[in-house]
Amino acid sequence: MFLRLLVRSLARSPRRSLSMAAAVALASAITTAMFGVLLDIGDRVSRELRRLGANLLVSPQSAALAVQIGGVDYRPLAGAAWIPDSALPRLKSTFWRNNITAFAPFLPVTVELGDRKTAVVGTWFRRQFAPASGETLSTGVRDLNPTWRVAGNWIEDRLADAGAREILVGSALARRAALRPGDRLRLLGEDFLVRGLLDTGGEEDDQIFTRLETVQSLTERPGQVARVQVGALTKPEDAFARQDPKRMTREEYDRWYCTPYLSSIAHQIQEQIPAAVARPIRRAAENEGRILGQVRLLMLLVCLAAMIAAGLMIWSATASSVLERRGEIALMKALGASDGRITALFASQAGFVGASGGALGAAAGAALGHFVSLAVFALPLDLPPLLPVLVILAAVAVSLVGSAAPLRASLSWPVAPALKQG
Amino acid sequence: MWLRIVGKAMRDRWPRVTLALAALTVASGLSTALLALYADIESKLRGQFRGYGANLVLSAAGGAPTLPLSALAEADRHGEAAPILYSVQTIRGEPVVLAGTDFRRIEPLSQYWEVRGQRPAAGEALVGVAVAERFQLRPGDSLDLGGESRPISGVVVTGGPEDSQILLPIQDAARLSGAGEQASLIALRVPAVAVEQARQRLAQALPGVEVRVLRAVVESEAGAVLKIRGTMFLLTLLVLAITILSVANNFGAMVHQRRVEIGILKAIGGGDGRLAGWFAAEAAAVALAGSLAGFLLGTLAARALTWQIFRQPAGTAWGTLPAALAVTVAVAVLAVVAPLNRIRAIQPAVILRGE
Repeated sequence: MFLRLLVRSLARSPRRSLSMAAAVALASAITTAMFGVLLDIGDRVSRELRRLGANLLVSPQSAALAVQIGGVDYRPLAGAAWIPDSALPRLKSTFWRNNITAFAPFLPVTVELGDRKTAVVGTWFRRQFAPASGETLSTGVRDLNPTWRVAGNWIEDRLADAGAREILVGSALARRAALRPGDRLRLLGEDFLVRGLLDTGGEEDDQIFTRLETVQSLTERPGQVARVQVGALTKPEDAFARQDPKRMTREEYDRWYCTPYLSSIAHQIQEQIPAAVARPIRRAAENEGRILGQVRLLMLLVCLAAMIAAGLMIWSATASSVLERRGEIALMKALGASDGRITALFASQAGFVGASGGALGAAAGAALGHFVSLAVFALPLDLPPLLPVLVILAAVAVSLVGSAAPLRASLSWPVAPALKQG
Repeated sequence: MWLRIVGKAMRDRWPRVTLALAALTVASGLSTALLALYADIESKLRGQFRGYGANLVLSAAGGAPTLPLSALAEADRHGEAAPILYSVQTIRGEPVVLAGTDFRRIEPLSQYWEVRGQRPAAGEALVGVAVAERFQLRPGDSLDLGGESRPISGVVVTGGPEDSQILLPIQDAARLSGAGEQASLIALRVPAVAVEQARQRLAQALPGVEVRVLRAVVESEAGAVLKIRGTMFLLTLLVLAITILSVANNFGAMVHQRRVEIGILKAIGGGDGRLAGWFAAEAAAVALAGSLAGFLLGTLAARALTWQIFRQPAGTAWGTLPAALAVTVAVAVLAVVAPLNRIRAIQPAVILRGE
């Protein structure tokens, strides 16, 4: 009987029910779309900022003082501290391995080219390697620095090749020495083929790059790496993160360890490679931390504002819908319905419209959020299933709350005048 | 008379009018706030990216070791420039890189430096953290450089080459290395949108100087700003569209609620045009009031948000007010007048009977 009343009541004025449902749907769509985008935006912007290059530098713990100008080392090579290159795959075995987007080892040697000292740097361009988990990954300077360009060809170094003799020459150096791709250059007692010219705009433009194992074998430093640059997606450092990990309680330590702060990622790298120390490259780390924090805060505040606005929209639609039906309420009271019965009927209606409008709106909002994510980041929206559920629940709650006050007011009015007003 | 009818209609139904007004204010406020934030976001973001420091580097062409300090004058015309002069000195028998710079000039380019202590005044030195560890130096200690004893004003940590350097005022460094009025390079920060233009102009004005764009800095900034702006733009558009739909829904519902009233007015001889006029005027009044209130609230909200997030004052966009008002009023009037056309077809008698 109650169900029949409910359905009849909704169907009697479809326009009104639809209008209220539409208001709820629109409000739910805004909320779902904005919160969906909010949850993703930190990660997306973080990846964009990683195009700058490395934000962590891993160097040997016992390294002597560097004497470098413009990337050229003025110290003799003998006796320099090193990190074993066998340790490199372990970078992808840390707790936060999925946050480490790329890394590259470097082993530079200083040569005399013409009358100037020039750095010849051995590195990985895009090298395949297998971390402990068994899958095959690849990384190198091409992944660490997506803004680097090569005129000619990159060196294809998916697999190690100690016998290859190829180089990339920095564009400024190539201009001075009149080198072009295809030319040959004599370095470290061997002939090298110029595969391409590297253009970065930085000090790399004055350097020469080749495979890591080439420099290792020609300088008799097998298995050695001078330093490693690492790019990692991080959570901005806050007051909690800046504490000394040695002074944290067990719980605090676990929380710090399981949050991708740059300091905890650095700590975990040092756990994997005991002979090394990992330090933040502040120019990247400080700025992206601050900018990410601001972007997240902006989106959060905008979302909260949208949520309040959405709530008010639903509340206004629901309240005005009840106000409009004063005559109906009066009629029901005149016919003998109890206040409880009338409240139950209206509450069910508000709940039903809230739920259906909320569901429709949440679906539409998810689609819109998905569209925004694809349009801006070319990536699908990563929507947690809990979000639409929460939105629908909120829509129902606000609908109920919105009808509460006008309903209580209407129930307390004398019946006859209300009936006369219609 | 006309004004009395419209005025009384609104007063009689004040709860409904208030709700419509509130809903409209909220919707308009949200749209205004988002529009204001969107209009401002690029300049605020680019201001934040200044923290990355230099995006252009000037060095001597042809691989010469130094370029004249006079190039600073030309660089100053485009942005913030600072000279750096490198040399290798011997400290306690070991080679150490000395970097001379103008600390006033390099201040805006080095905001990410962590300085434990103070940046140095004339005659003082700032040592990198690796140098401090190697020679066991702390702020306040003295360092013997080229026969002179210099107090150490602080220790700098950057994670970059500065950690292994000793930084001095450039005149002192020039004296120690005998370099004269020269610099190894000039670091320059130019507003990101003008980088290419600055590079061309500097290359033309300084023929002996090579101008390089630090593309990693420029491109990562450009990419991030573009994507954040794009997100704000689409979200703003989304909210605007939903706001317009919501206003239309709201005002359309108001008309439907008053169909009996419309029936009566038609029965006593009200013409369609006149009816439309009354309802349109009512809608326009509510929409105008709601939009103005929303605009004020939205602007205040945007200012508060901008201050909270960026610690910088927001730019004002008074130009959006007429547009926002026009759109809201137009939508409200349309929402009211359109269904009136439908009701025009129905006879008053049908409505008054209660169908």
